[in-house]
Amino acid sequence: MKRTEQMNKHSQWRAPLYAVVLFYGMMLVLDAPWLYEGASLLPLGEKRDFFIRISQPFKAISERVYADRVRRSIESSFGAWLNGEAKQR
Amino acid sequence: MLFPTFSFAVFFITVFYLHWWLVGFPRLRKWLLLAGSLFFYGFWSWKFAGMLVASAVLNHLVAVYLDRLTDAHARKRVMIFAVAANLSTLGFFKYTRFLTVDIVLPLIRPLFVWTGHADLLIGGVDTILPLIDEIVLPVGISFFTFQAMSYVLDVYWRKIPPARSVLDFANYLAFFPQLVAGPIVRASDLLPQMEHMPTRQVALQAPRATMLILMGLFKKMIIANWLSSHLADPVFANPAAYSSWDILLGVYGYTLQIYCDFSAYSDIAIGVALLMGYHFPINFNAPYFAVTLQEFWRRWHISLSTWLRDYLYIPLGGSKQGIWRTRINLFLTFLLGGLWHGAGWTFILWGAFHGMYLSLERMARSSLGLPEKPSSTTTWPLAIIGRIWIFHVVAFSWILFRSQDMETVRTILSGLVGCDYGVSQLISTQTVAMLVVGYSVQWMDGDRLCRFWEKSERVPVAVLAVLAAFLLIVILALAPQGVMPFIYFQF
Repeated sequence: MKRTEQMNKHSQWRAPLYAVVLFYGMMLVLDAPWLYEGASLLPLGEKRDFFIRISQPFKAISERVYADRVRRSIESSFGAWLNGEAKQR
Repeated sequence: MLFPTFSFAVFFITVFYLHWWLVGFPRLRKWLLLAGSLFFYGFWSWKFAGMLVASAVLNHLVAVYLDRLTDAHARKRVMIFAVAANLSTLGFFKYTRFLTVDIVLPLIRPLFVWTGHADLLIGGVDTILPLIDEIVLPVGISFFTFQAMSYVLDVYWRKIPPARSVLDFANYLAFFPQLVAGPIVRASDLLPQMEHMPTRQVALQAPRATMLILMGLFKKMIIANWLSSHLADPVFANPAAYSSWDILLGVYGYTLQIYCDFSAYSDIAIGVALLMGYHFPINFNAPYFAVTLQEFWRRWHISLSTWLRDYLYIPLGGSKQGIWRTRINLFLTFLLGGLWHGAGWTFILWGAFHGMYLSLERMARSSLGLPEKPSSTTTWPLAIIGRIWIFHVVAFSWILFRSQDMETVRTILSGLVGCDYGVSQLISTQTVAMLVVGYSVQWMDGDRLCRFWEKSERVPVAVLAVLAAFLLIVILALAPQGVMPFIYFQF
């Protein structure tokens, strides 16, 4: 009984730590094209090359599984309405 | 390092994991947290990270010495020395230019002209000004100086014992979530948490922390950025080019922008600290729902208003020395509160306006026989009228706060009373939507969603993580390009 309680406590404590990894992983896939875009805007140099090299595979995965579509569709619909129309003023 | 950036995301996940994995090594964990906080601060300037360490060491040494001293006069002298040292450091970085250019020079100029030595003054100014311009204001100096002063004063008043070690105190002073823009967390709240760091038995309030961070990002990246770039910035940059309607929209825009911007920082700071296992008190509690200005100050930047109350207003005598002395104390407290925000006449006038209004409000309430604090029994029509009135009083004061100089204040005020209510260039469906959302998000402040947080604890954290990722993508998709620095970074 005590052991089960202890294990429950242990897993309760660990769960948020795993959840943060899950969150970061999802963000990497969902947002990879924009991370790549941000990296390519950096000034030429080692830092730029490093970030491009890191973000490129995630960008490829994101586009392969259509995960990039989530942000793109929001940007082109509600985002364009919110920022685009006002920008033209 | 700004919160809503990729660099912060990488920094945070590193510190977060190391902090929880090193639970079994308390001393190492404390050093790691301090190193993380200094790295976070050093992202701006390593030079100033050294200054932060020096401030922690010196203030802690003074506190330990104060605790050991028994002679009341000696204790008082040491306390005055520590407060003066902290204030001089703050004054040097923040007020040197203002004191020289706006106070001393206008005062001595007639003397030099009268004695026929104007050329001497011009030569002196030409030498001094470039030196003054080289002084860079360290980010967050107003916040960590106030925290250090409150620690020394609390030890002096024997409210708290000094920290167990300089490491604990340095962690309290430099803790990265609140380091650069508050909340100004008291030593009595955070120091015990630094001495006994959170263990694995602490229930991580992940849903609440996640929602606070997401809410902060929503307020900052979407609402504050939008209101700033579409309403406040254009109007305050060139008010003469806009009609009265547009100036009014610009003022409303800034009123909601500053709330969304600053409360966003507090929300993210509280959420980030919560994920690390530390608890901060709330800093905003729906300030524009207040029905009096006194109530507004109980809801706006709570950590600063309570700091000013406890370390300035009460030591000045508070409300215990007669009506006139109370008014003077209130006025002085807010005047200095204004000066704390920035070195400029506009900030001083902003503080003076709040001090005077609060004194008048007290006078009016007592002469009408109304209780000093607005009670919950206020009828709803009166509460609505009070809210609208106070919103406009505060919005008016933000004109002083936001304007670059007194000329801009004059142009905006004359634009507002000029009744040029012609065609508005800035009104649109988006404008109305952002103003309404900016006002309504206050509903999420404080403990209003307490029951919701309790229920959300039952949701599996994995579901929460997926949901949070999707919500963040929505925020990123709706946010305008680029992230503007938080307004309170400049203070």
